Amino acid sequence: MSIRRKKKKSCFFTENKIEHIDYKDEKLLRRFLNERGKIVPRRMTGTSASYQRELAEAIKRARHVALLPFVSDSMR
Amino acid sequence: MYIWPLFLALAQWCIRADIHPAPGNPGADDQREGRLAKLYETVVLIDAMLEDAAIEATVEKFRALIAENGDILRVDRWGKRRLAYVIAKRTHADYVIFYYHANKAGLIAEVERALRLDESVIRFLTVVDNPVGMPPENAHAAAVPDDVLTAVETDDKED
Repeated sequence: MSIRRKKKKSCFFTENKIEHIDYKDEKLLRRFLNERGKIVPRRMTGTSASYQRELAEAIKRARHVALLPFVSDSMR
Repeated sequence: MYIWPLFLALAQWCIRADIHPAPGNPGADDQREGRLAKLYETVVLIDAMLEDAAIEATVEKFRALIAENGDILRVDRWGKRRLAYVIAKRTHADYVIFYYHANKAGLIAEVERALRLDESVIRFLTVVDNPVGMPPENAHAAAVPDDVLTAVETDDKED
């Protein structure tokens, strides 16, 4: 129909059937940070709203225990 | 006859009231015990610059403190890891995670107070009833990212 149709993004957590996001799962959480260490908006990742909320909480907990950076210029 | 449905509804109501005791109900704690025991998990970051014996002593101290008024289910040792950012001039910490149930109301406050006072603890986090639950044994050891274990000094990584 429209010319600007893009590929549909889909929620990573729904697809992989991850029910709850753990703040200790550093590797998983890192996928949702950009190279500055910021949380990537869901319009970029396609994460569903409820998972994005859970994800944000998990990332913030992980930052508190220094598993993830608050800011970084390069992701190591 | 027609009185039975009412009777059943009353019985059901009683059962429900039993499962979810009203807040402030003096007997609530006794009813709750065992059934709705909350799972606490506390992540403790211990200064990795300390000697191994000192780290062990700290872990043992908190293990004993929690065990006094709680049931420890497991203690996970992640070992020494690089911190994502510097905390109090420390770049590495020994990560220890306690999973436990509390048998006393003030246990968490007590443990957190002790953690705050202990100088070898650089940070901690307690989570109540993490919906993820307790990870399977040794789950972390299998999934340690390669870049993470840059050891401090020339220590051998234990557990």
